[in-house]
Amino acid sequence: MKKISQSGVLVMLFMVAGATVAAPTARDIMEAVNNRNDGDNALMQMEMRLIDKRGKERVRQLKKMSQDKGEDSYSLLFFLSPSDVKNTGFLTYDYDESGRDDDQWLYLPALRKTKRIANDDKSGSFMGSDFNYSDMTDPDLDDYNFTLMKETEVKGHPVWQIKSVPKSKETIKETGYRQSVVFVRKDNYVVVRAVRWLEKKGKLRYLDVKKLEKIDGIWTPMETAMTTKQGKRTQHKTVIRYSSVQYDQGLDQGMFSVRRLEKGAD
Amino acid sequence: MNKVAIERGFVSFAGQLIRWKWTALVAVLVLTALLLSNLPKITIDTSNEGFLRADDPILLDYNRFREQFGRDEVVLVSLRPADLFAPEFLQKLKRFHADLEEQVPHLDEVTSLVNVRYTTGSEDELLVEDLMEAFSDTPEGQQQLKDAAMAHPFYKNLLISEDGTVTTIVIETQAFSEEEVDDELSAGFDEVDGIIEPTERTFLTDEENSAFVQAVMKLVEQYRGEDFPMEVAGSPVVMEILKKSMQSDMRQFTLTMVAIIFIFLFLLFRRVSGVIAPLVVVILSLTATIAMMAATGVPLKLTTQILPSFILAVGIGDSIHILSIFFRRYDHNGDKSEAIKFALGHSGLAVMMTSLTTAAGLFSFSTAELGAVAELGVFGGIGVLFAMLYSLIVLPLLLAILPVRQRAVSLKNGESDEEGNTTNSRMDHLLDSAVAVATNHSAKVVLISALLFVVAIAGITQLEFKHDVLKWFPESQPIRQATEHIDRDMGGTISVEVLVDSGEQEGLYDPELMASLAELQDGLDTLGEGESQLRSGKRISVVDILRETNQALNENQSSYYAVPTERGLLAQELLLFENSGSDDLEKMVDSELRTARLTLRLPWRDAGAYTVLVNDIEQRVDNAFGGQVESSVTGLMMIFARTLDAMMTSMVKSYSIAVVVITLMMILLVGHFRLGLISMIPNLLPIIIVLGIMGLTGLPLDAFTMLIGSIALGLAVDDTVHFMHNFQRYYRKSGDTVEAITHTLHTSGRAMVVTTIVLSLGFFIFMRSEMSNLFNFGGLTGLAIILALAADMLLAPALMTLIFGKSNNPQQGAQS
Repeated sequence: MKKISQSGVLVMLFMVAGATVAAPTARDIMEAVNNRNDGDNALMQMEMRLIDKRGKERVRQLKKMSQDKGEDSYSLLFFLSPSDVKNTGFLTYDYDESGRDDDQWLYLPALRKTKRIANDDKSGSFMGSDFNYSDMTDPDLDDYNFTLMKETEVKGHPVWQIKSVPKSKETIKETGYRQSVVFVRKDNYVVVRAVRWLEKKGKLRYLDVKKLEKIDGIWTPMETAMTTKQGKRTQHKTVIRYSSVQYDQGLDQGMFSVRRLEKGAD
Repeated sequence: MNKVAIERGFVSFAGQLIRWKWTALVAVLVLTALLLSNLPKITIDTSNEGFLRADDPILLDYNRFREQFGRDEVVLVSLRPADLFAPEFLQKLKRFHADLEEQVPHLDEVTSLVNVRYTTGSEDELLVEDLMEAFSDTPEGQQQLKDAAMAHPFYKNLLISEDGTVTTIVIETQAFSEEEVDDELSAGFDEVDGIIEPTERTFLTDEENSAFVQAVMKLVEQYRGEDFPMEVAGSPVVMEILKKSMQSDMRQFTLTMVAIIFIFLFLLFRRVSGVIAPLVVVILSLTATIAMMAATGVPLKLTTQILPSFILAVGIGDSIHILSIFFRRYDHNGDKSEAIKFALGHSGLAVMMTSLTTAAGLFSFSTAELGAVAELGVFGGIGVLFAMLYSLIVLPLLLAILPVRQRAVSLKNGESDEEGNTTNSRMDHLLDSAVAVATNHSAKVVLISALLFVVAIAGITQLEFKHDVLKWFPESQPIRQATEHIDRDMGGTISVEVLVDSGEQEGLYDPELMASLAELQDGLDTLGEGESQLRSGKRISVVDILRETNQALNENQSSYYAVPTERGLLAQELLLFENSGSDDLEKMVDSELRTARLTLRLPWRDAGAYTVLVNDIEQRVDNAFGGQVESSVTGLMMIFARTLDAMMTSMVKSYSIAVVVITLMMILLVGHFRLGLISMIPNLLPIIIVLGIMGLTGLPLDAFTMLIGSIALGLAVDDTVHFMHNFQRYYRKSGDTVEAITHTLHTSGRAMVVTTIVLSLGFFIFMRSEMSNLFNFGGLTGLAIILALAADMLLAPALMTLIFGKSNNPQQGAQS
């Protein structure tokens, strides 16, 4: 979550104004995506449905709070259900600075202990879902080469189809993806679809924004599906539904602390 | 059976063939070409489960397991460097590991010291990382790595041997065959919310397994060195080596058989048409059979690899019988059409009967629980029938169309006979001695046969069933040593998979269930009792993850290497693990957290060693959970055990069917119940003797040698058919037993000798294989065929002498 920086505004102005003169580059578009207004802070409920290849489902309810802090972003996440894991919480500081590892703390209510989780890897599953941590954060654009493949349509909306290839093996290892193709809506710079090639060969992930709504003037994906496939076969699928989304609520500054983490969801 | 009418039928059939020769030939060739167009679809399957029928319940269990958790057959690369933790070695291991991940197709996962999960914790920190990433490259870091690796219970016998001198790399393949992916990216997005599984999935094919193993072996060769001594084992590699040797054997056998047939045909008939026409007939029969397999989607397997040389050897017999009469007649009167009709009229019935009995012997396997054997039975039988059809249709057509050189009739001595055999003094001498022994010492011959029977039966009681694919290879084959070494160092490569179904979603959060699983897992280190005891080197389940995580969360104190006793904590630890970046949990539980998987690795043994363990394992699993959960046991070990069981029942069933069917056919042919039964004695004795020899010399019954009985019976009976057919005919004429026997042996006896030589050579060819299963099978079946000839030249005449009396005997009511 980033504030619309000056450069971002300039890029967008450039694109709006110059649309008839010169087409924006892929990199321009991706900057506009990263700089899209997504609120200073947000509060929401998440319903996560984990669906396996036989169609069997597990449902997890979570509560998420997030806040921009300069260029960094903080988030707090609690499990509400299933009851066995209720109040298990994760506090994450995601730093903008290139090369700086995230900080993450975990609170296990059954153990009444908080542990800092040392892991520089964003390729791991996000809460047991098909999303990984790199899916949940904005990419560092300098780590990639972008190419505009074509202009096309997704569900009737004009989009740019952009290929993004990591510049280094480290980035591949860290994000877990060899390359991606993203579909960016021209009218609002939302990535509405993406295909990601997993580091493990032969596996692909398909990100699909199923529902997109404007809440408090901010385009918000309300339902997002991530499907892991091997060839044509679905291996596993996660559908996240957001609800009770509130932006810019003036969250308490002490909200994103270990002490708050240990208090649980309520 | 009205033989005269049948013979007349064959004559008029031949007449029609000659009349419409071009139309008939074109029709046959078009039909054949249609069938042969399937040939490119033929595939090979050397998988372990390929022995079983596709609907075998044990295989279905195994497939369900593989669909859920992936393939349980892994490739193990074992390394025994001078110092396992030397930095240079570890660096090279890292590069090797990365290359494996990068270059090997159909790969699922590579696990080694490089990337094995390393979970550790301190006062307020928790670390889940790849092992080698967790430590620095400094000497202190390396020492810490060594200490950590050696102390970790999960690595022991999985990646590091107990004594810390050997490390392994576990390479897993994908479970399913790769499918074409749409180039259009948007095609990958599902419009609907649920999961749609379009069609059945195919498991990894033999071809893909080959590509996988070859890529691994290429890298192994590239990296192997004094500093990097490597051995490779695991059933995917065994499969690949089997396939390689099968392909080269098949090629060699087929070519050798064609060469043998070529030489024989030339020696027998000494003209181009006599070589070309029968070769065309048997090669068409062979390719048509393989095309049938391709058309019905049945792959070539270890068992069916014997089909090419088998069909060639068996099929050529038909041509030899027809041609020898044709040429004789033709050389006499120069009328080709008449000679063709005469040959078909004379031999058509015999060719048909011998083909039907041989096919019956083979079809007796078609109900075998061992799928690969059933396939051999079915397609072997089909091959024999194809050979019959082509011999009765294409051979006369070719003779009618091709120019056939007429040769001057030259009879050096002896009279010509209607079978048209030229005489040969050495052969005559042999046949005369046979007649003399059989008729003058008939009681002795029968007595000696009875003695042999008794001794053979004693041998048969010693027979043992074995199924050990690895033992088929020569001892020099590296896979044998590699497997032995890995069994010794790491405790084995053969998996047993126990699935524990809690019956409800997140049922695995139950601490009692997990405690039972842990207890079961720890207790399964030794299986079976006494001599059949087997140690399991490695056991893996979600219990390992729970213990590790629990220890790491409790400041790494070893007393916390235990499964949590509180449900909430257990659930939260699993959640933590799911979120830790490792996907190892996917391999140990289903996605609903309802079913847990426990894997045991056992050393490679003969399947007999596994069959005795199956009950023990099932019993202990039942005891562990006291019926509160559903459990099942599967894995490669179960496939091996099942294969052996299926082999035994298949053999009993097939032998019984073959004996009953062939006996009935004999009775029908002989036209007399008691005589039909007696004529089975010289058919069965050779097989009983061969099985007795196997028992006495300790040669095992395996998926190949178990075939000997029915195949040899089906072939042995051919000689008896010819003998009885002619004996009855001459006896009817003369009423003199000795004369009838003499006449019979001098006519069809001659053809029997020739076909026996060709047939036994067809089987002796298999002895050129370096695979012991083929060697034994070929040698023993060849022996059975020779014994069958001996039985029909000595025992059968002796029996007839005893029954009908030595001299003129008007007891002709015995015949129809």
